[in-house]
Amino acid sequence: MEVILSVDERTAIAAIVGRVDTIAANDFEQKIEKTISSGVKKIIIDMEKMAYISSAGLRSVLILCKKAQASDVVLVWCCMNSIVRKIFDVSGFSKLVNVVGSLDEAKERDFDGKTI
Amino acid sequence: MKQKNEILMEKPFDHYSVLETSSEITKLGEIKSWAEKCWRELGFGTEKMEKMLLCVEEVFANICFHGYKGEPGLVRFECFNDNKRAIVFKIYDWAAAFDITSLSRPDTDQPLADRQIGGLGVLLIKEMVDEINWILKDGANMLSLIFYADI
Repeated sequence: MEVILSVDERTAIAAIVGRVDTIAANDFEQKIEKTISSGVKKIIIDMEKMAYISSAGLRSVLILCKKAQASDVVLVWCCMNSIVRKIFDVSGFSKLVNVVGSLDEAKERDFDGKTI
Repeated sequence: MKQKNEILMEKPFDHYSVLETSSEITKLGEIKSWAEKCWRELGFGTEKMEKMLLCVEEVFANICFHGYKGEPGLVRFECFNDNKRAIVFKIYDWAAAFDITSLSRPDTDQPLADRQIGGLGVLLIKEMVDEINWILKDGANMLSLIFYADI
């Protein structure tokens, strides 16, 4: 798994490539956590090239959401493939977090200050 | 090892592959490479392969962390096809008998602050696999994951 980061003053885009599996979850969590602490106002997790996320990865998502809330950073999850979307839906995470279909929508919407 | 020898007698299919490993989560990459190789050799579709890999991972993680509770133990994987109609993974462990298919569905409607992560792995397996069966066989937990061919 790779996390490809592009950051401007207010927004970071983290493109996830590969599988967020039990081994990779910790690395994924640390890289996004570091970005939350970097001072940006919004982080977009681009999952277009994410193959899947395991339950260990979902645990990291929960931790990251709590940290984003505490840091007042808007966290947006976008561009899920059908498997990742199903994982977010059946686990109830789609109802917990900001999920959008496209990168443009993720960039343009302000989510009314809703951090997750 | 009597149980293992008995299991080795079962080869009624035209493709059959076995992987035996230990219950260390660092073995996950090796296991997924093996499972992917089996899948590709049988010509099954790529999207469903990711579902299969997720299921195999969740089962193995469950065996490592909850079955053997972090202690070393044997885990055996078998893969075979059923006349191109389905691909079957049978996964054996010799930890305490436990039927993971009997686990109740976790509450997925809780707010963030109250969310518990437990049980999500089994929930994901049940959602991604076409059939799942557990039996206790000669002292081993034997879990079968069955994926139908994409038509």
